[in-house]
Amino acid sequence: MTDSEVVQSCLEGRVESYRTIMDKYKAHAMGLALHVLLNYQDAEDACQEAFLKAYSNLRKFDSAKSFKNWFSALLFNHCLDQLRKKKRFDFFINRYKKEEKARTVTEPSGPGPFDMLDSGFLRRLTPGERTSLYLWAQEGYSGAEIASALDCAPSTAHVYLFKARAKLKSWLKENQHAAS
Amino acid sequence: MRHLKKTRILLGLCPFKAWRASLVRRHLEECAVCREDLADVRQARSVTIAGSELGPVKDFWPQFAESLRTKAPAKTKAARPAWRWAIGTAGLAGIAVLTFLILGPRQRTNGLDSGVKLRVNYAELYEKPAQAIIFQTQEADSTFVWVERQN
Repeated sequence: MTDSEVVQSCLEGRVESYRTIMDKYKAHAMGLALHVLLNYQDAEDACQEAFLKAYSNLRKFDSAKSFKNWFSALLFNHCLDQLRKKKRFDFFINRYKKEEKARTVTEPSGPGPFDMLDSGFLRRLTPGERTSLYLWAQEGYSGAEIASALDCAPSTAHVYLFKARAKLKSWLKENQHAAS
Repeated sequence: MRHLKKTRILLGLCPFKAWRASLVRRHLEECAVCREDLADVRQARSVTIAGSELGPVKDFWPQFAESLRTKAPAKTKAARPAWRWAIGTAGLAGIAVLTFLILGPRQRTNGLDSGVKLRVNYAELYEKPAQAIIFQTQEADSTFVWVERQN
């Protein structure tokens, strides 16, 4: 059953068909969301919400196009919204945290399985750059496909990828120098 | 690396994104120095995580089904009648026309009514009959009268 057929089936009222799509794309969705948000829990929440959002917008999906890319664009934009909200929230919460730190000593938490995402090189990239890098390296996307998945112009996707690769190379060189 | 920095500065100066991207692509195709300064796929894979490496991903279905139960079913919103758009557009067009009529350029009133031709029946220069030539510019803002003595 193709994605378009599954979508058609959902539109005809068979909600269970949507499970096929969710199972098929959940790993891809998590990978993408994780590279935008750099936090596993946030990525899970974003995927959950994006799947629901995609379902309620199924009628807007053009069956001539790729469902994977359409969903990726929706998820990417949702993640960007989450990042913006988080930024606003962090601004207010940071004040409180500073005061709280002065009063109590918090126990350091152990390293999580995806901490390298949060503290490593990817922090140096913009969300667009790191998602382009992820799609290119892990999913084998071309510039045009990245553009489709990020809902941006192909030229923008090419620039994202170019900058991400240049930054990565420079970071790797820095690390080599530091090690030697 | 210096070469790549120059390229990036040049790209930063280029105002058009589409043009910038084509410059990037073309430059990378030709320039081996810059290509060397870009990370390859293997290096990019080392700093990113593949979907397959994530391990068992959470099953989103139970929560999704629960949300569907609590929320309204996924139906498209009732289509808004098209006449609302039509009325809105017509209203805006009306306002635009009125604004143009009130504030738009007004016709300049010439000293002469349009359609009246200038004619000099008789001209005299230094007490002798002269020939008068009338020349009107295209904008009809200025009119030159040339009078010359008749030999």
